[in-house]
Amino acid sequence: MTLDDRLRSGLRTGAPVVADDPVTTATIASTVRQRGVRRRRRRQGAGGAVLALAVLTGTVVVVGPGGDEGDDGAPVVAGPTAPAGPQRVLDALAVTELEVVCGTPVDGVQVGVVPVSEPPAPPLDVALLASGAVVDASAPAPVDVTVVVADPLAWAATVAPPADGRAVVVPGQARRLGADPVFAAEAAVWCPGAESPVRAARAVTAVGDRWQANPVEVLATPLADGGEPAVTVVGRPGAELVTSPDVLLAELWNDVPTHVCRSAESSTFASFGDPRMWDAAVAQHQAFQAQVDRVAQGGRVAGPPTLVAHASDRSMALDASDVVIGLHAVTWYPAGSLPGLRADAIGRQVVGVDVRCLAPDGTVRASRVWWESTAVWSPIGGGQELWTDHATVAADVQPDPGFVPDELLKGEVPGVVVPPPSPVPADSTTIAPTTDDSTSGPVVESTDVPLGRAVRAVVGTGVCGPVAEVLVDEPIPPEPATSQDIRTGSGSVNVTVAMRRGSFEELVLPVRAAVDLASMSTDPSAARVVLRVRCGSDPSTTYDATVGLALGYEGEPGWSVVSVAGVPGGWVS
Amino acid sequence: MDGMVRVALEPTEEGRATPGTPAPPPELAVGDAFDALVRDHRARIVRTVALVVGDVGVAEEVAQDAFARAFASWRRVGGYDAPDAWVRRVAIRDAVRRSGRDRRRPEREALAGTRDAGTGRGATASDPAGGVADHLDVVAAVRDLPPQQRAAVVLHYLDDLPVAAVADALGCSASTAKVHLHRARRTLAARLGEEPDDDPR
Repeated sequence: MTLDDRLRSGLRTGAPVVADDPVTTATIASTVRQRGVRRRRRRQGAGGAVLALAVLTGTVVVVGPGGDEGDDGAPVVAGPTAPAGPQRVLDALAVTELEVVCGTPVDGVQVGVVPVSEPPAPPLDVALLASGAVVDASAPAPVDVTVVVADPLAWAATVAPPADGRAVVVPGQARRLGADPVFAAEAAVWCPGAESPVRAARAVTAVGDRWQANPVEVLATPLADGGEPAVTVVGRPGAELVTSPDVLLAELWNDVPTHVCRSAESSTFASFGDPRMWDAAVAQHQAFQAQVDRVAQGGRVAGPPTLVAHASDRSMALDASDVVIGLHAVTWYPAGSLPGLRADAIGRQVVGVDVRCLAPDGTVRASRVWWESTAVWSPIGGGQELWTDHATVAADVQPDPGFVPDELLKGEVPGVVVPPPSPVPADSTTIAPTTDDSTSGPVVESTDVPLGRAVRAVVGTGVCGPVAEVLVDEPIPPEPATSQDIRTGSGSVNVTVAMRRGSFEELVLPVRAAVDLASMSTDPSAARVVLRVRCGSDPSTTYDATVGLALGYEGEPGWSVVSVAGVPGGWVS
Repeated sequence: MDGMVRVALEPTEEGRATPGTPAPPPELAVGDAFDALVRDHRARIVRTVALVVGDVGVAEEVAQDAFARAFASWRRVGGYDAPDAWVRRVAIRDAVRRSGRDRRRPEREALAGTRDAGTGRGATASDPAGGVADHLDVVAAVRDLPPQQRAAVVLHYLDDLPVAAVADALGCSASTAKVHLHRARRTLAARLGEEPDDDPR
């Protein structure tokens, strides 16, 4: 095989599977079209447009009175290719002042008010272009113009520390999360008393034509009587942001000092509509927070919880009228440190994401937890922005000295009992067990797995129980793939499935796995697993995938019974 | 900075309508034509971009942005001979730009570079998973390339684009594209333990 042949074969086989079913395509096309229209739509007093348009373009955008939908009259978009650049747009909008509230820390950029009578100096344009900044001129002119930067944390670090109890907030760009109209917006927040700004992010969503996301301000009271600062986040004037002092929702704080986090009863964003939703959301959050606290206090995590995350599960059946309110985060668990969560033999760090979706009537439409491995899996210092299948995760990955997961797979961890593979009937979807001395653990060879040709399955153990990996080296016929494909069979067993391609370290995003637990019990030795691998994708696409199946058993200490498909979650102690 | 500004959205040779090219028939709804564009080409573009940026989620975002730009300029883009090439070009350049400015990339690449690529040499009857390993090696090796080289390799070997089309997509000259491919192949040959073949034309 020549190099050319190898590259062709490797890339074509190793390229990711991209879901392309008609429904997905129609949704995406519709979304793009809506966004394209929205890009031209006049928006008055909707500061949230800045976020939406940041997503749209990733470059300089000026939103302004540009006429109604479809009206190509007044220029509303400025960028590198605009005929006359931003200045023409600003002129058209009769903008009299351009207040650069934040920008990128590049030479020549100043924070302050730039009179438009003096056209923005080239460095400003350069800065805007370089940063992918978005200029929001959506309010009737004259307007304040907010520049939203791609790296607010870096920029915030260049400004003076906050004073007078008022936090510095540097809004950042929003990123689309999947095909749903849900975005993750981020900002840098520098709270009084903190030594440095921190990154904050939240999920925002669009309902209908209203972008329910806005830049925020953080109002923080100084430390009083030695207590913790009270932090309140409010929306900008005119924003459709509801602030509740009691709710911690749709929010992630990363790197926020613990004392700030813990005082977050009044610290964060609340949003989206009907106050009736809060009670349920608060209850869920409190239960969730209790889990996080318990983990932290139980010493199972190497270091404090350092990650909270927001996520949108693109596979969730979100209706346009649904409101995603709770995208909660979780802790960044070193593999192996927390039995039962995702401490499988694969050896990746894990992120838990709790996605909650409330219907307009206030009921919880879905409540589930996805535990996904992340795109970056080994201890890396510094802030990381990770993407998983269902989540955008802004994380500050902490070094984990205990990150040695291979031993788990090899069954070399003292005290870990490797349950023998149970006999499995060799029906059409069964992986029959065999033994292979070339591997460290019991190996089962597939006899016939019509969906996916599982050519090799390795059953090992993690601290949470048996772990099965199935290498799939054949084209997998297209099947509808939804989150519903991951189920629990009896409700007594928690299942986490991750599929990877390309390397051990990467999660295969579009690929779904379906796991039917045909027969499970609380006795590991009696466990029987039937794997069905389904991939909804282009039938002409071939790919390789590895399925990691981590099983835990209710009643096993430390096992987190997460909520899947309506099964109540809880902790087993 | 030049790179940023140069990422213009103007179509070049491949996607631009040739003189005399008729505009789309007025009776063809814009939505239908655009939907068809998305339906027919999105998956391939995402797939290509994903290998450039190393992240399917980002690739989907890049592709969607490119499609959004196409829609915003559909009156013009829709008249091109190959609007998909226009979208691909926008997406690829965005992908390269993102990869280049991703400050975390060196860390990731450094990590990837520590892996032992070149061990897998294809599946055999006794080792059916060997093919998997080889694919992993190839993808990992490609991912370690600099963004421009990575994009050139993906476009050439995954999308089967000739050098001229690769150059068009990258916004560079054909000779520059050749240089990208040459250097990439040299690097990949070393990583994968292969003898470099003749450069593509």
